[in-house]
Amino acid sequence: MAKGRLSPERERALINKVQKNRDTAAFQELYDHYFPKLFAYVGYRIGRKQDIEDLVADTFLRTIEGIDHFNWRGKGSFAAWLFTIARNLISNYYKQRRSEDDALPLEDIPQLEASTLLPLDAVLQKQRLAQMRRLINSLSPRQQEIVTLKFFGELQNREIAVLLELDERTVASHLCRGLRELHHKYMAESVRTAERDSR
Amino acid sequence: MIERDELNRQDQELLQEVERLIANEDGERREADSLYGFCAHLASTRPLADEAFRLRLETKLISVLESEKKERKMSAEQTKNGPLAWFIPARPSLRAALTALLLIVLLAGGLIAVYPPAGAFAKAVFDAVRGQTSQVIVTVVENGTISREEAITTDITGPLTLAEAQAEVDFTIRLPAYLPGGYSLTEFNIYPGSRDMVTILFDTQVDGPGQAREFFELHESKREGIYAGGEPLGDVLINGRTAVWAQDVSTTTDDAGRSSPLTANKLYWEDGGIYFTLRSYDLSQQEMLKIAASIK
Repeated sequence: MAKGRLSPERERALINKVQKNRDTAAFQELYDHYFPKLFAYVGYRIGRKQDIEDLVADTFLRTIEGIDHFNWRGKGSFAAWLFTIARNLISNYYKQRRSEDDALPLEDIPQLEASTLLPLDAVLQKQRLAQMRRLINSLSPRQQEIVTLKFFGELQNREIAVLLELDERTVASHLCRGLRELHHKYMAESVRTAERDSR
Repeated sequence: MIERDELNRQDQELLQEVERLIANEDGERREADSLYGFCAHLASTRPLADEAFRLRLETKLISVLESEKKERKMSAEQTKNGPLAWFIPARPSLRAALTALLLIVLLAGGLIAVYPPAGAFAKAVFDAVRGQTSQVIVTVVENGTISREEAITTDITGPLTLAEAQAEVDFTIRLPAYLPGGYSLTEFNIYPGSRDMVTILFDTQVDGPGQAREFFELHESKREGIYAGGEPLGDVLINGRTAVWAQDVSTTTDDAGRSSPLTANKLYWEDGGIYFTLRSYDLSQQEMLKIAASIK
């Protein structure tokens, strides 16, 4: 089933309503659209469930605080603005913490979407998320950003380009290289795991 | 010379595949040993928020927007009508209602001050509305003086259990899954002969010396507007349905006969042909929205 997309015209009309009238129905439509993407993106960048929730909440609160200052600059500009707020908060989060917890307890890791491809139980799902997150964190910072914004923020390459102030082709190029590198690391890890298990 | 970021055919195919995967969350299942299969594997490994968190945050954000809307409205009216204009409603009907309410409050306050049984009457009415008694003593005033007292039966009956109330009404009574800390369902009240409305009381059950007992009411009715009312302050959303947030200002009287203003918060909305009203003197809008959203 294809996911619902918000047309640029609709998005612009909703933002106008929130700016002019603090229209709660309009805000709710924007929230419903962006909440899962923002949560999944922050989930990969942060890891710990409680911190993800705090940061997502803070992002939306700042969005409301600053929405009067947002200027529509065409398709993708709102997504770029929203994810910029999240990126800045993530950056502050890591400045305040000296190191990241690579080995989070499983209870601190969020669950996966119910539409997950494999019928794994909750523990295995969380292990899978932890593995993917660890692999992505081994990429260059720029590739990490692009892969997570693409796969979990579900942004278009054009939107990512606006957000990171890059050329769209550069985004596409980083994405392809990042995915090939990730796949390579994933396969190497799978081989090592299989060898270890056979011993 | 090939540009650094120029994409070859394989990259272009990969990008197309990625767009397809992201657009279709339940994409074709593949083994993760191929690059495309790995991309599908990655796309399906998405962290998911707890629904409770999503709802809690949504409620909080809507509440922030509502507060801002109210502030803007007051600020605009103040600017338009002068420094004290915010105190007076703009609509003539509301101004008339406010004037009438003030007169009633003054008359009731005066009566209670000069005649102690009036205080007891106010308390009895208060208890009757809460379903604790079905009979109250009414003080009859004729030609400006108190002439006599009469016992009248209120038209509310209770308390009943859920089974008893459900047997009386011709719709399915719905209850909230969420209750604020300390509250529990206490009783059901119905109107004799009326099969289309029920009042449900939720109480903190704290009744010790010096402890205020808090309660809120949930009215469910097939008739529109029975429990609506108060001054509407704005619209809010409950599970995607528009609800009205309103306040009722009345007076309360203590045992010594002293009266003071009392504000009831109200939330009313329609769902599936049933008109719901939540009323509380103690709960915040955020808590009331959470209760309302949990009524399925």
